[in-house]
Amino acid sequence: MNSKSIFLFSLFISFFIVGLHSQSPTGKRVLVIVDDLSLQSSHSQYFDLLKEQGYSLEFLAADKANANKIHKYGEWFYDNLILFAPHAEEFAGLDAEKVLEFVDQGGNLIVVGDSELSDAVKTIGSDCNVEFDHAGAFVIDHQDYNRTEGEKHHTLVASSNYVQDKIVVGSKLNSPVLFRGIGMDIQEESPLLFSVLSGSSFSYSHSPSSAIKSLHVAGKKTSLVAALQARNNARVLFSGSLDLFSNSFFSSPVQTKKRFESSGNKEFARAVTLWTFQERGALRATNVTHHLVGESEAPAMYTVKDNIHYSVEIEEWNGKNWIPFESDNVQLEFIMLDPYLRLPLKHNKKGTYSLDFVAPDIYGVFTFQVQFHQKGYSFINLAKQVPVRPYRHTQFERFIPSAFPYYASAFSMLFGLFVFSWAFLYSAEDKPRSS
Amino acid sequence: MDTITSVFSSERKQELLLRILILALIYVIAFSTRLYSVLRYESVIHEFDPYFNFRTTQYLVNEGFYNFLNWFDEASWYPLGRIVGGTVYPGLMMTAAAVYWVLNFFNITINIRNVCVLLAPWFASNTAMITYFLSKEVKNTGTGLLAAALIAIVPGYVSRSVAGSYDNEGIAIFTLLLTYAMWIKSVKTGSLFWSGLATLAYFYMVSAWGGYIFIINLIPLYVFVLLVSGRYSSRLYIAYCTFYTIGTLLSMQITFVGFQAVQSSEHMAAFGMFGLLQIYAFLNWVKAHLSAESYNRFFTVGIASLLAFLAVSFTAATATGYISPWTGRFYTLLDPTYAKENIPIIASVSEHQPTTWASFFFDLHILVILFPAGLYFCFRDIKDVSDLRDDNRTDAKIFIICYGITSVYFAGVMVRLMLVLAPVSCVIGAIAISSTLETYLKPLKQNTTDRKNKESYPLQAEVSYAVVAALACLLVFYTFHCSWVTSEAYSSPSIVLAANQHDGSRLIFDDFREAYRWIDMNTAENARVMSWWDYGYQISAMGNRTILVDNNTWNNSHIAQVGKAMASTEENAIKIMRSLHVDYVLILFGGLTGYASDDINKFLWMVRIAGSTDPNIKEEQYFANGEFRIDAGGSPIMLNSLMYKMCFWRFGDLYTEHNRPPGWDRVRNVEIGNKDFTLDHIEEVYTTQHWLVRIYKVKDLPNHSA
Repeated sequence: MNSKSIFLFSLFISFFIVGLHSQSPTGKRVLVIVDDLSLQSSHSQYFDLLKEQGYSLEFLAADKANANKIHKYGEWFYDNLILFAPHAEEFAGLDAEKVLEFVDQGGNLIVVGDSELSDAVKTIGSDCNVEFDHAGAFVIDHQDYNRTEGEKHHTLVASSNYVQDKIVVGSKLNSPVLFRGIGMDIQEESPLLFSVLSGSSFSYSHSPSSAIKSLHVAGKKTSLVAALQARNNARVLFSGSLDLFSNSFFSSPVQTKKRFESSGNKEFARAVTLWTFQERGALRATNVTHHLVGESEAPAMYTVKDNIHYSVEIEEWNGKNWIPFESDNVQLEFIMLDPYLRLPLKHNKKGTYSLDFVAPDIYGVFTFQVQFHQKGYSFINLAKQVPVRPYRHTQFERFIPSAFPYYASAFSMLFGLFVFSWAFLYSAEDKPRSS
Repeated sequence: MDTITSVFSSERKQELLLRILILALIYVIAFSTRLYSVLRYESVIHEFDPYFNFRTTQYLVNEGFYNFLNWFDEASWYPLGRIVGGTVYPGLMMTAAAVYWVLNFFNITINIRNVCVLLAPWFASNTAMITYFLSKEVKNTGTGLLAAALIAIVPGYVSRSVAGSYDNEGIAIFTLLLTYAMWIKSVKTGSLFWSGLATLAYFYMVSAWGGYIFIINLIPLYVFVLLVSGRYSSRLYIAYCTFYTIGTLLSMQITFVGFQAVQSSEHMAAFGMFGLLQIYAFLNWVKAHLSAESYNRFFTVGIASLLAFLAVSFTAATATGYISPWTGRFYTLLDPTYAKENIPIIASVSEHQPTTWASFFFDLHILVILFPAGLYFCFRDIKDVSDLRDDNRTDAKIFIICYGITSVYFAGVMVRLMLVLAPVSCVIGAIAISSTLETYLKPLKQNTTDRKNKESYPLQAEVSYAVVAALACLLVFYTFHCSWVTSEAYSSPSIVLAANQHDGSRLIFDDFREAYRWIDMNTAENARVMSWWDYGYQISAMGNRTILVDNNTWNNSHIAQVGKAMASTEENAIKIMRSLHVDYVLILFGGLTGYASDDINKFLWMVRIAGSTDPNIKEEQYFANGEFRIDAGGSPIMLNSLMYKMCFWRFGDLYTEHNRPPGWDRVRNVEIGNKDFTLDHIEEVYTTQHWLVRIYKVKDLPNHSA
């Protein structure tokens, strides 16, 4: 086989692989676990949205143990899991721990709570540092509530405080999102978590019927929908409201201080679900290479002051294909205990990020590190250790100018000694004159 | 038959035969007395440093000399790495590799490990031979034989040269004595040939051991003593000038020494003496040409201006940093309390502690008594310069006196320098014995009738017999003592431990090798193992993994980082360990077996060394009322440190002794104070059969929770 046919063959193989995976970075199989199978009709618009995107949905009732259909011999039969079962203690035979194991093995998850919610849902939340309020609580907002329904407790909240990131919520969202359900408190210092939809400054979470003594969470901290991107890039979406995804909320008009013909729920639900299922903001880094400038193979060891070339291809999933990702914020660090270099990687608009740099004059085991953590995007963590050695004994400069005086002195002394010896040996002493 | 008897007919030839026989016996005995450990255990490398030497020798044999010279070892001192070629004295490895290559060239297929194991005993035999030569030069053949016999078995030297103890000192004592023997010979003869040999021996010594500093300071000291005592001679001038110039040039060829040989303070004495000798010779020459009066004037002016010039230039060189200040270990030599106060890393090594009287006796036995006696005889035999019967042996004796007195001082300061004292005490001891014997055998040699007449005091013959018998007894006791010490104290490989059970049978603890083997077989090839520095060499040689710190304690702050991780709480330690990319942590724990030199007993050193770079770590915090305790009364910081937790994880449920509560520590003899704790960020992955080594894995960051 000559090189051309190898090339064609590998091209074919790569098309084949791309073809297999052109569906989605993680997969299109979705399992929906519901409290009540009637949800299929009450939330049908939402499920239809997903089917339009090419997802295959299967429904299971939460109260029927059916774990073998979901997970067997360490293999999961679904790529994404939607838990529309806020009241269930077990999800078709899976407990909270098992659900989180699904996430740890790369599956994406949507967890929905409600005013009344089970301990299992709370456990999933608290394991991810998302604390649901006590059962029976609602998010209440006496300012931004939907006035079309004459409901006195103002629990039907219309919030426009969604995260300003079009990767997560899309760019088409222009009307408030209706929400009725429980509030969440998220641990803000966690690097994995962020709030997708929050309450207004006037919102709080409490049971509407009892007197307020203390508040679980209030104001802008009140998280209505929160997202977590685990370290393995699996994504988890927490929503405090099941109704947010319902047909009635999708089509309901909104009347706050302004009037909107329809709520933003449909667009919001679509966007965040697609984000959670990694249709948006999914990145992958491939072809990490490093070598000396002008060579193509990585050496076993670099030497100090080497010219090193580092490159990585970063691609983004656009819903159909992996396309080149463009960003000016990708940095390369060259670390040994401390970062000796931290330089932005240049990209060529084709997804290849590369940089030529000179290794510092320090020996040790250095780490090439690329850490790209931008909200909404998959984490990129690349680390590769390479030894950087000092010069070999033959690599030092041989004849340095500052040594010339020493060479001169050595040779002049050799010469001087020779002349002296010659003079000493061959000059006859004057014989004392005999009288 | 006739021819054979005729060959040995003359007394001189018989004496030669006897001498060769005795030396051959000494050669064999010096070798075989060091084989206890091989016979009892197996042909295995001992202790810690020898494992590094073994590993580097393997590298040298496999990769060749130039790759060895340029070896950058990325698997030690992660992530700093170590330039092995430039930070070792390569003499030992070169010697072993040369032996290996020569033997294999002759198709004697011995593997490199056995060469390494047996190298030190073989060099001990050679040392005995060179001691014979040296003592012969100082006194006579009889003394030489006696000194060779003494050094063949002296425990102070055996301790560093048993089979398996593959360390620099094993060959360095040979090269040290070789240098001194050549030096004495060159001073006695004043020949360029012998001083050339002395420089070559010195070069070998420099390549083998950092202790060459002793030579390069002792020889100038000796020259100075000779000058002061008015024994300057052209022999001395030739010997020293050749030795210093060529020796220094040669020593600079060793990468590790390099420009230190002309820049560091330790070498300045030799340089100064070189200059002084030139001035002295010059003044002698001037004196021969000037009248006494003008010479005196010349002398005062010249010397005063010279001293002023020297003082100024030395101060300037030190101030600008051209001459480096003395290193910590060197200060420790001059002031034994220096390390304790300033450098915990040096003080933590047991070898660097001052010597006790007991260990003097233990290591030298009768030589302790014979040493002063021998010195007395050396002084007594000093003859005047003009004495022609002298044969220049007085110069040699003065050298032995200098060597003896300085090494006694050094041996008193640092335990491990006992090694330097042992050979010279054998020589001086031999001088004492042979001088005594000469005195008392003389009357016995005469035939009976003569003897009666010539007795200088009554019962001279009987007294002589008694003295000779007493000396013989002493020597016999010495032999027994040496064999006993060698067998009991110095032949344990320390990598395999043995204990006697109640029924007398031996129990072998092979936990170290078990653990290192486990690491080798079960962890990723690039895994990084954190441990206290003592075990670094062994992990890299036997476990074959990257380590953070090892026995080459050149970077105090890096060791302090490891100490800090061990001394911190788990939450703080995990940050340090993650930043250093640690995958596994290895600790030694003796609580179950009663093995006393485990990590808990070394723990205070970790705290001290960590505290020397990070003032937040304070030793007092680990004490409860001034006591280091691990029971319920221990300080909470101690009981929650990572080291405590790793040592005593799951230990609280374990019954170790009858009638004791669970969690009874058999080293400290207490019940541990904190039994109920969890490990969040690390997990136990392996514990050896007798719990001597425990290995923990650093967990990854949790996937979904922060």
